[in-house]
Amino acid sequence: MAEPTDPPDEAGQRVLEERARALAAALVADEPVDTVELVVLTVGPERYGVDAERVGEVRPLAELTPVPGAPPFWAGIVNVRGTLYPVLDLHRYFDLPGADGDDQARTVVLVSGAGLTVGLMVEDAAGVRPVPAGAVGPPLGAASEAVNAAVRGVTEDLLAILDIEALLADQRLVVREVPT
Amino acid sequence: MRFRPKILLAFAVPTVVTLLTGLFIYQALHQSLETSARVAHTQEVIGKANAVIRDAGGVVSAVRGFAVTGDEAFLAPYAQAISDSKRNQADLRRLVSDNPPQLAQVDRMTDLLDRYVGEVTDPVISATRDGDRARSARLVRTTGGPLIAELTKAGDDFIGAEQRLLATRTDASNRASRSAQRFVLLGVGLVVALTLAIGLVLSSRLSRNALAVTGAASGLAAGDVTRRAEVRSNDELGQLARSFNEMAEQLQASMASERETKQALEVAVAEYSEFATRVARGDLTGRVTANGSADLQTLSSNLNGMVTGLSELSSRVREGAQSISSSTSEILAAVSQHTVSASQQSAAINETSTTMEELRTAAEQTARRAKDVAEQAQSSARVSEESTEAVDAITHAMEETRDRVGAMAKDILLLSEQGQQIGEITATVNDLADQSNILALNASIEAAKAGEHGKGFAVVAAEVRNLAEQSKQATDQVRAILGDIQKATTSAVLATERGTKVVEDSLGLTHRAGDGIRSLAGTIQDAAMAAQQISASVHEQSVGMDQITQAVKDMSASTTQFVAGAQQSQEAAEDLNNLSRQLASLTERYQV
Repeated sequence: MAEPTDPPDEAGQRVLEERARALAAALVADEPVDTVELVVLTVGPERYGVDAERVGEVRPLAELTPVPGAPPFWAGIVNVRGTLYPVLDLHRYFDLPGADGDDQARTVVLVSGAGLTVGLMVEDAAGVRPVPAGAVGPPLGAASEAVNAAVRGVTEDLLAILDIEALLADQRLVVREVPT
Repeated sequence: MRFRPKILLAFAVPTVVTLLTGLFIYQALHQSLETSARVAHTQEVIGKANAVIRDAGGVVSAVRGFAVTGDEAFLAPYAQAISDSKRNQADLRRLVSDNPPQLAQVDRMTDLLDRYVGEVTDPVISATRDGDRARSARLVRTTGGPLIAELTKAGDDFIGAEQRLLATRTDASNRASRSAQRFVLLGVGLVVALTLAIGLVLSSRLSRNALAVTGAASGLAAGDVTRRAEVRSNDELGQLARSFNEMAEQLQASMASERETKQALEVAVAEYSEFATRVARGDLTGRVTANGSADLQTLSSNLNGMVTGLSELSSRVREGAQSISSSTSEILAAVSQHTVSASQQSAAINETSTTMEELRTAAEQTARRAKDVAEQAQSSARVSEESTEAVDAITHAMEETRDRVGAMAKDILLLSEQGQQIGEITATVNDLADQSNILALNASIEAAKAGEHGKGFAVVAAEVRNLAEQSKQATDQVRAILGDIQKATTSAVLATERGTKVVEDSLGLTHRAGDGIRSLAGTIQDAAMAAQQISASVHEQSVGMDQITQAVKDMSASTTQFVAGAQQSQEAAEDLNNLSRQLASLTERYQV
């Protein structure tokens, strides 16, 4: 390892200057691009992006109360500061592989759309990333109908962008109590 | 009867008679005194009775005087007479209280006087005061007269009876006095007569017996052994006389036998004298005949035995002189031989002396060696003591090590527990990091919602997320390190346990080593003691050798003396030879 106190030679000095220039150029290039802020969610083997405008809060999953008689993708309800929200198990709902295995979901993401606010149960919320609006391509064909209905597009690095409005408006989510 | 009872009897008889006489006299005098007292009593009674009658007369005359004159002056003597009469009547009643008939008489007299007072004097006094003299005179005459006469008669009767009693009692008193007088005369006479009679009889008998014994004793003193004391009494004097007579008899008999013995002795002495003369001349063939008393017979047989022994002695002396002569020759030869062997012994002793000297040198060397051994043993004992101390110190150190290792194990366990606590704290930190992460995420979402205005905030939120992530990584590292520490402490605990076990084993080994060294020390101590004892005994041996050397020297000296003694013996034997020759020539004189 080189001594940190060594006097920088000319080659090193040049490298440092190039890096500084590159960084300065990148900042200038970003400036005019129209971007969408996406919250990245991990569900099983897949990663989905959700528009930050739709996201209310990210919480660790705690005190989940199961609702008897509901479909399996409705994991239950949670109490957030006095308000009850239904929790949708995306893993099950999208019928992703390993859905019946170990339940790794530890995080709830409250999203709003179609007049509803629902908690999405996911493995992790990895962060917020800006995505250029022009960099979104058409969705890839998926095995699950629910996925096809909810995905709006795919970014360059294959992050599926969920349309919360469409997801929550899906009639399959509605639970109708049929009198017997 | 002996003297003591005799004399006692002689005194006792008059004493008893005197005592009896005295008793009788006392009795008679007592009776006389009693009767005299009774006479005096009777006279007093008579006097009192007269006084009562006189008082009655006084009453009567006082009343008459008052009745005739009407003078009140007569009433004073009247009252005096009444009170005197009462007092005398009371005295009289006291005197005759032991005699009921007399008491009745006195009561009668009292009664009559009272009647007189009640029936005569009181009415007379009232009548006279009323001035009725005629009634007074009539009362005095008709009523008082008979009463007074009766009273006077009663008094006279009482006095008369008392007078008769007085005469009887006076008579009895006189009789008692006379009988006492007779007893005195009779008793004194009897005592005097008895005393005189007993004195005469006793003295005359004692005197006669004493004279008889004295006469006989005077005769014996004068040489008359045939005199005897004629006393028939049984008392001491009689015994003395009998003993005296026996003594005289024996004296007579012994004088006669003495005379006979003397004559026999004179004959025997003459015979023995002749025999002794013959023996003196050297004739040992004669013998004396045994005659006379047992003593003489013993003497003659002893004389004969002596002469026989003398002749035998003479023969033996002759034989002895011859054997002495031959013995002295033998002694002379033996002495020469002894002288030769003493010289040889002297040479042998010298050799022995040399050998002893060598032995002594060897013993001294042994003593030195033994001393060296003892010193070495003592130094060994010191070394073993030091070793014992060292082992003790090791044991102590081991025990301390054991304690230290135990404390270390405890510390390590504590460390392990603290590690677990750190793990808990780390978990908390991890949790906090998770929460921070989520908070940062929410912050960045909010920043994204804010659009252009939230950009700066998004950077901060990203930094916070970054920090949370780093915290998580750090906690993961801490957890890993803690796991390593846990493993290390476990192995350290195991190692300390092994260490404790090893120290315990070492301690046991050290104890055994200590015991071994201690027993070794005991053995070495014993060895040192044994070496010292050997040294001491070798020293004693050396001393003994010195003594032996000295003894050998003494022997050498005594051998030299022995040679000198042998020469003296030779001379003495020669002298003895000469003596035996002289003895033989002397015994030649006796005829056997």
